[in-house]
Order: sequence, then C-alpha cells, then structure tokens
Amino acid sequence: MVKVGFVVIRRTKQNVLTSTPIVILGSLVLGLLISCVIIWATMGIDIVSFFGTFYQTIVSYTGLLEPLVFLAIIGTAITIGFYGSFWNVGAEGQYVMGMLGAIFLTMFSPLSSVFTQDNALLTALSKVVVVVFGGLLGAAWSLIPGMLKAYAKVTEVPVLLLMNYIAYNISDYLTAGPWKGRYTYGYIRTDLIPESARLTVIPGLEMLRYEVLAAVALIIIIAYIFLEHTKLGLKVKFLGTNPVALRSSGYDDRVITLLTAALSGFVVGLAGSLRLLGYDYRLPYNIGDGKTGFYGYTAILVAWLSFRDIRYVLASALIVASLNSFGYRMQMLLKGLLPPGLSAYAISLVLIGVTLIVYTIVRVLKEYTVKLVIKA
Amino acid sequence: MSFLPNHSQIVLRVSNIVKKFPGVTALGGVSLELYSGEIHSLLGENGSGKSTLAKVIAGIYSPDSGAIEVQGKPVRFTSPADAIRYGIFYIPQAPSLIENLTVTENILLVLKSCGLLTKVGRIRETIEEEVSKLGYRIDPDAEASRLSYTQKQIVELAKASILGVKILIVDEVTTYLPKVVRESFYRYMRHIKDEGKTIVLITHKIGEAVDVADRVTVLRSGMVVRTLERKELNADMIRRLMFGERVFPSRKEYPGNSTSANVGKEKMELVRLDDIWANDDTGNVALRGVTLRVGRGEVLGVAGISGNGQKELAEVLVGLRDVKRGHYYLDGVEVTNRGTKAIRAAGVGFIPEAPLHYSFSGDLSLVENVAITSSNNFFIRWSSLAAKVREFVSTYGISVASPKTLVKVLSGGNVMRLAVARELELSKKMLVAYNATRSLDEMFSEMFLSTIRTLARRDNITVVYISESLDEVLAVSDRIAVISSGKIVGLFEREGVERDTVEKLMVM
Amino acid sequence: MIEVLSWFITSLAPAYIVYTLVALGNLLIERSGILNIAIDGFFVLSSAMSYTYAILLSQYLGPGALATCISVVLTALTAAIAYSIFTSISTVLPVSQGAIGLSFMFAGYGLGAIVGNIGRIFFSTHRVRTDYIGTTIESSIFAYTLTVAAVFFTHFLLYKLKLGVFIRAVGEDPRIASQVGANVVYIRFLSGLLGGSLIGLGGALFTLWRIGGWSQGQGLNHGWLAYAISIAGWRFPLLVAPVSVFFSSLYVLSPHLQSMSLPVEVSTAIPYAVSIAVMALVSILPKRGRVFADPKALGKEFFREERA
Repeated sequence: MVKVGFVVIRRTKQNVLTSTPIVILGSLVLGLLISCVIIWATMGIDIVSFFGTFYQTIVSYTGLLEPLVFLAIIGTAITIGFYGSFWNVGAEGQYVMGMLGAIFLTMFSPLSSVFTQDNALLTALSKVVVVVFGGLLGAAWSLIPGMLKAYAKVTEVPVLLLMNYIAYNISDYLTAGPWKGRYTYGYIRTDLIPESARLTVIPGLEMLRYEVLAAVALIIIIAYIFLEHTKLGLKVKFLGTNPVALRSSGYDDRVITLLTAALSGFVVGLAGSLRLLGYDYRLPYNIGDGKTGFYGYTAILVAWLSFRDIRYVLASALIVASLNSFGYRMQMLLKGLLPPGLSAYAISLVLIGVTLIVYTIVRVLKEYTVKLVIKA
Repeated sequence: MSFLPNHSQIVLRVSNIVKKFPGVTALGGVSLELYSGEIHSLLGENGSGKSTLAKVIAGIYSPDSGAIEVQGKPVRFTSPADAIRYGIFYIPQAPSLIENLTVTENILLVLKSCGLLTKVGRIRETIEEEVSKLGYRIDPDAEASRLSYTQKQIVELAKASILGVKILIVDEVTTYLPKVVRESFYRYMRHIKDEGKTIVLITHKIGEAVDVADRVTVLRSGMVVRTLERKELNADMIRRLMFGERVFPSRKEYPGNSTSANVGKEKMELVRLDDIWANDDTGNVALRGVTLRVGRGEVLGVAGISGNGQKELAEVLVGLRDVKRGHYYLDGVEVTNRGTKAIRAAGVGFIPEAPLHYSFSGDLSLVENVAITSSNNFFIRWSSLAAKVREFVSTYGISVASPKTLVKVLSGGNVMRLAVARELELSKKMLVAYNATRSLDEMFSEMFLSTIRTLARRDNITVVYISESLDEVLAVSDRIAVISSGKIVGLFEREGVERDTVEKLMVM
Repeated sequence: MIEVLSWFITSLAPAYIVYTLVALGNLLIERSGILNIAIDGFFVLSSAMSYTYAILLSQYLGPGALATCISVVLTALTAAIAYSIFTSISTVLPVSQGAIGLSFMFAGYGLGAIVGNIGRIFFSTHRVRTDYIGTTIESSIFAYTLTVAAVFFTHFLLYKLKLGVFIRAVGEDPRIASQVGANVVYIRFLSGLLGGSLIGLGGALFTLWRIGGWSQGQGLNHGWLAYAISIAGWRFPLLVAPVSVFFSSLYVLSPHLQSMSLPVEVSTAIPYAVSIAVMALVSILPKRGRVFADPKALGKEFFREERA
C-alpha cells in the first residue's frame, strides 16, 4: 500500500525564488491565473478577454488612483492592527463611523455654522477637526471589540464583523430618520454637505484631493515612525509576536491591546471622514449594499500582501486596487457576457480570496520546504 | 557481543544521520546499532545531540540525510505514528499527556488495535491491569492534569506496554526522580529487557548510565565518540569522552558559601510570601500556602522535582501569575496581584527555563529584545542599544552575526546566554532563576553560578534559585527550600544539610 | 395554545434547525483546534450551492422532492470536502489560521455569488420549476427530529467514541497528540469532513427550506449567529441545543419588534448586538470543568519541526 505524508521543514537557505518581490508578484500572477480558470469555467469568459480586461485596468491607471489612496490608508490601519495581532476585519464599520462623524459635524452640530461663513482659516481648521473627529469615532468603534478582547478574551473577528453590520444599520437609521435630507428627489439619503466643507480637487487629476494625498503621506510616515522608532510601537510589536514576553518585561498587554485597536480604528475613521468630505458629500440609504466600495474588506488583502510591513503598503495597495477595479471594469467591458445579477464586487471577491489563498501558501513556501514523502 | 544472549539481533540501525537546524548542526553523521534485549544508554552533555538522535529514531524529527533500518528493512518515518507502528516508543522528560483528557482517553490515543469507532469504556480494565503490573494504582477516569509527575510517567510506561513496545526510548525521565522511584522504573526496564525488548536510556548522568546500562554510546557535538560495553564502563574515561580534553571540575564550594562568611550577617528581609495559594494554567491548585522570607543578598535555592509548583512559584515572584490567596511583599511594599510592572520597576530580573517563551520575542531582533526592557525613552535610540547588544555579545560569548538578527535564529544555548546577559543587568535588587542552566553547557553554567554568588555577596542582590538540579541548588545556595506538591516541605541552612534528607522530602 | 405551539414549530423551526446544525458543525471543527473564521463564507457558499444544485437537478430529474433532497445531500457533501481541504491546509502549513480562514471566507463569499448566479441564469433561461420544501408541520417535525438526532450524535461522537477523543486531543495539544502517533492532519481532515457536512446541510436547508429561492448575498452573517451560538453553548452539543432556542427565537421575533415602534434598522440589528453581548458574557464567566473550556490549541499554528 502506498502512503503519502507531508514533512514541513524550515528553509535554511534562501534563493532568488523566495525573495519578497518575487513572492508578491508570483502570488498575484498565480492568483490571476486560477481566478481566470474559475471565471472561465463558471461564466465562459475566455482567457483573452480576462487578461485583456486586466490589461485595460492597469493601463488606465488614473482609474486606480482613487481606490489606491483609500486602500493605502485603510491598509495601513489594518497593518497597524496586525502588528499587535488585532485582526481588524471591522474596518467597514469604522469607516462608516468616520463618515457619520463627518456628516454630523458638518451639518448637525454647532460646528456646522463655520461652513456657512466665509472664513478660510476657520474653515480649514474645522475640516481638520471633522476629519479627526471621524477618526475618534472609528477608534471608539474598534475599542468595543478591543476591550472585549483585552478583558474578556473574546476573539475579535466575529465581534468586529457583526459590528460592521450594526454600523450599517445605525447609518441607515440616521439617514432615513433624523438626518433625512430635504432635497432628495425621492431617494432616501441625507443632504449634501456644504461646499466649503468639501475637500479640494486637484486640477488635472480630478480623482484626487490635496488633503487626502497629504493625509496618506502623513499617515504612512507617522505609522512607520511609531512602529519602528518608539517604545510604544515596540510594545505593540511584542504584543503581536509574544505577549508573554511583553508582560514579563513589565507592561500590561491589555492596555497595549486597547491601544492597537484604537489606533487601527482611528486611522480607518480618518479614511471614512476623508471619503465623505472629499467624494461622497452625503450618506445614502442601504449603505451596506456596497455603497462603501467595501474598501474595509479589500484593505485586508492590502495589509496581508504587504507582508504586514508598513513599507510595502503602498505597493500592495496598488496591486490590490487593480484587482479591485478589475471587477468593475469587467462589468463595463464585458457586460453582455456576465450574468445580470452578478455584482462587480463578487468578481473582485473571487480574485481577492483566491489571491489571498495563493499568497498565503506561497508565503509559507518562502520560509519552509514541504516535502512529499511516498512510502511503499 | 559477549554479554548479550546468543539469539539477540540488531533491531535498529541508523547510518550517517545528519540533522541541521538554522544555525546549528545537531547531528553530523551518526551511526548506531541497537540490539534486542539490551539497555542502551545514550550519554552526553546538553547539546551533544542525544535527544535529537532519539527524536529522529522516534519519527519526531526527519533527518536531512542518512538511513534508518528496522529489523534489517529500510524505513522512513514522516511522523511518530510511523515509528510507533514499528514498535518504537519515545517518552520525553516532560510528561506528554494531554491535560484535559482522562488517563483512559490519553491511552486510547495510542491504541491501534481498536478502530476510530470504539467506545471509550472498553479499555478501562486493560489500563487498570497494566498499571498494577507496574506496582501502582491510578484511576483511569482521572484527568491527566490531576496526576503527579511520577504518576504521569507511570501512565506513559503503561501506554508503552499496552502498545507492545519493542524499542522504548526514555529521555531523561529518570534523571531527576528520587532513588526509590527510579529503582522501580529500572526494575520494569530490566523485566522487559529480559523479554527481548530494547531500552534506550538517555541521560547526562554518568552514574545512572554506569548503574543500569548494558552498552553506552557517548555523544559529543553531534557525533558518536565511542560505544562502550558494560565491562569497559569507567566513570573517568566516560567523562573524558563526553567533554573531550576539558577537565570537568567537580562541584566545588563557591566562595562565601561557608558558614564563617554568614556568621553575624543580619539579613534584612527583601521578599516576603505569606500563605500564597495559586493555580496553574489548567485551573488546578499549584501552590498551597507557600510562606517564605528571603533576605537581601541571600541566595535561596528551591529544590524539587519538575511539576511540583516551581514554575508557578517563579511566575508569582515576577508578577506573571496572580495569586488566589495570600500576600507578596517586595522590599516592604505589597505587590500582590499587581502584575509585572511594579516588580520590574523594583529591579527584579528573571531568567526562566524557556526564554523564547517568557523573555523574548523570537520574531524580533536582538536589539529590539533588549530595547523592550532597557530603553526608557519614548523614541528608541537604536545606536546606543546596538552598542549594548554588542557588549553583551562579547562579554557572554553569544554567537550571532549582528544585533539585527532575529532571536529565533539563535541556538538554544545562545538564547539563554542572551537572557542571562539582559536579566543580570536588570537585577538590581533580586534575580529569580528557574532552571536557568537547562540549555547552557557546563562551562557557562559554572560561570553563571559563580556570578550569582558574586552578585549576592558583593552587590547584596537577592537570588531565588529554583532548579530541578539538586546539585546546583546545593552548590549555590545559602538556604535551601524543598517544594513538593505546591508546599514548602523543608527549609534548611545549606551548611550541614544531608543530601538524602532533601531527596526524601522531594518525593513526599 | 395550539396556535402558539403551531407558530412555535413552524416559524421557529427553520431558524432553529439551520443555526443548530451549523453550530454543531462549527463545534466539531473548533474542538479539533481549527479557528473557524471562514464559517460565514462557507455558509454563504453552501446556501448558493444548494440553490444551483436544485435548479440543475430539477431540470434534469424533474421538479419534486427527489431533486430537492438530492441537492441537500450534494451540498452537504461538497461542503464537507471543501471544509476538509480548509482544515487540512490550516494544519499542514505553518501559517496563521486566521489568515487562511479569512482567505477562505472571502473566497467563499465570491464563489457563492458566482455559483448562485449560474443557477439563476439557468433558471431564467430554462424556466426551471423547483420544489422548495414548504415550512409545514410535517417538515418541521422531521427537521426537529433530525436536529435532535444530530445533537445526540455529535455528543456521542465527541465523548464516547475514540474518534472524538482524537478530535479533542488534537484540539488540546496537537504536538503531544502527534508524538503519540495521532495523525493530526488526518484527524483535522475528518473533523472538517464531519463538521463541514453539518454546515453544508444547514446552508442547504436555509436556502431550500427556509427561504425558498436565492438572491445574491444570501446567508451573509447567519454563519456568525451560529458561531455565537456555538460559543455561548461552550462548544458542548448538549448545551448548544437549548442555547440555540434562545438565539433562534430572538432572530425570528426581532422583525416583530418593529411593530413596537422600533425602527426597522434597529430591530434587525438586535440579534447581532445580542450575539456580541452573549459571546462577551460567556467569555468572562469562568468555565467550570475541563469539558467546557476552550480547546487549548484553538487557532494555534501546528508546526512539528521544533528547535533542537
């Protein structure tokens, strides 16, 4: 009888095939190929159309810029979470919370009066306040599962995911209720935020905003400095790799857990309020139905693909932005070939899921060899 | 083979086994033959490769190259299950029973004769039988977590017996057992040897090997030095084979260990444990009303067999474990259940048995692992920390490429040296050491023990030295506490205590 | 009185059966040490798969109970195989289980959408008629019996059979289990097979019995409700059964809270908020006895090659 066994051994030597860039690119290519096969088998779309569409997605790179910046910000946030072993799958909810904060301050709070005046300095300062407030709401939203994890040892993933759903509901409730707009032409949604509250469009690159670009740069740089050059950041790294060592060094791992959750949620909240102030300008109803672009979920792949290292987040965001836009572009270019009810995001999900799986496996092969042993 | 009965044959042969781990070659081409009906001892110091060789034979590790033959047939093990199928069973020093399962369930795990759909109740009687054959009685429905160390090892032997073991590998199991229990294990081993089975006894105690083995293979630095037969066994020669030309210093009295140095010295109290009750990780009681006082500059040795509460005691002392009852005072301040912060702030160092678990994060670099305890600014000054790491490396002889290397790449011995380096510096008032010399080689251990004595004498630093090695405790302590089943069952001044007395208390 | 009972049986049944089966499947998988983050993805996938199987089979075998029943069985089988791949990979590869779980979760969501849409296209192009299981008293009673049987079977399996000992051993300490000869990968493969089949069964009944039809995104978050039930029941089959009654009732009743002047958005969020609260409570309370504690190795990487 033939028996098959696996032996997994840590690699003692690295070669060019196992270097980081090759691993990332290799997973991408392999993930695309497998997704292509799946999509061909289930929807009959041939390889030429598939890769043609992908090529289109890359080539019209301006279409990638907007998802790129948001995936970069949220990807950084989730990466921060990973450093402290906080699996922030609740970015969708924190993102929505950031948006809620922005709407609230610009339209339903005492601060909103600033935007009707004509004071440039005050307006600019207030915008910063609004963005930070969105971040604080995001932090608060992630602190709930954070506290449950730190003090009750509740695994954070289901809590975060469920809270996404609760956040959607809160947003819908407010949109259909107290925040319902007056000038809505029959749709259920809020009014638009005042013009002066909106972010500045970059001439020539209309899909970008100055403030958002500044935010991306600041966030990545500050995150990097925090994690690699501060004691607090080091504590987060210890929490994520060996919490017992953190405790034995004299620190409270529960506090650092809270900090990690809060920081991660804060940055996601920033993304939410930036989004609202810069692009959406209002809240729609049924926000959970894809109106957020599901960046909160897609950014998980960004964080993962970046080897959970802040330095690679931008590159990773670029790759994932293309995968993400791929679904939408497929819908545009191949309209006749795709099933009518299939949402673009579903296609992107397959790509993302498959690429994640491939990447995870390839990551393993980078550090370990797997020997297949056949015994007769 | 003059000592073996004529019908004995080679049951196992390994040829040229090589096994490497990142940074170290554990086995560099080992060849060995095992015969039926013998007790074969693998002798060597820490790091000689004896455990690695045993684990390769038992299918726990897979060799990088080399061959294994059982009964003349070449075999390849991908898992311990394969080895067990050939009758090879490995018993490690730390009992490998699953805590949350009962004895019956634990044994059921190894039985191949019944399929996956057998009902659990069926084998209870068989277990009771086997255990009584060994001369003991254990309730088959007891949870493994409730058994004592000795009882757990008895269950292991029963397991092996039920399995019909042909080659039994015993890895340092008996090394720390008190004489009485050890003898009953040896009796059992001789009994199955007469039935034609093979026992591989792994130990670093020359005396034990000389007592019991038919043949002895000495390993050093991953290679076989020599295989000796019973009639050739000679302690001095074996010593030389184990350590090369290095002369093994006999356990000496350390400076300041004699009474004359202690007379008249009033020791101010630093540590006070009052009626400490604490649980272990599985929720069972590990410490039962421990009361201890330790003075400044005193070395208190805590002796005991593994699994009697030492781990929990060490953890309580450094603040890693909360107590259910009782009080802990450090330097006059109550620190009960206040966590590690207050204790570390008071200047307490901790050298644990498993630094990769307790002290360091293996996935981070040496500098980062030193920074976590030794950097006190918001922004870390990497350059000065790198300098400190280099200082540690040269002072303590740590073999590593650069301060940026990840700790997990280091060999066990080097990780331990790093721990010693970092923690000795942090021990301003007290040092808690728990099985600190486990992965250290003889020379470094000697240096370490002598450093401890110096710390105590010269710098007035308190040392709580918890160790399963009675030799070390006797060598280094001013006072000796004996811990058994979570209680302090004896407290002696070092001077004048009898080794036998201590050993008897350890088994209580 | 009869009305209450009748309501109880027919309204509660679909929710109860689905959640309990999925919770049982989940606990089998988690008792073997695999953190089942992918549960929602597999549930969505199973829901979609069962629909498409039903459509295809109704076309080729004719509409009726046969096609539907075979679809249910096929879904359970497919889910079993898929889950066993997931649990095996999680065990063999020295990667964080959370990472693999998340990947499978996303893949499950995406594949679910695609698979379900295949069914939908087929349905519209071939005008297939499918017989969904009606929520009648008979079907409810049969389903209740099935579920109770599943509860006892799971309990018996875990605590009275050798296979169950292996599953729990691998969940407590896979390192030791493998040292004594247990094939950890194989055991996790089996637990994936068994647990996965229950989860697939739940997904199939969700679509073919409870909803009767399919739309994109069907089943989303229901996997998490079942997960919460599994945790609240301390991953103990006999406890999961009553706990599931509470949760299922909550889910079935919450839309009715709308009539109590709670806005619809709030009332639909209630089951989820309660799930979180329950998980929190359960985790805070000390678990007496070894049987109720979390499996010690849950979510931990299993990697056999240690240091010298």
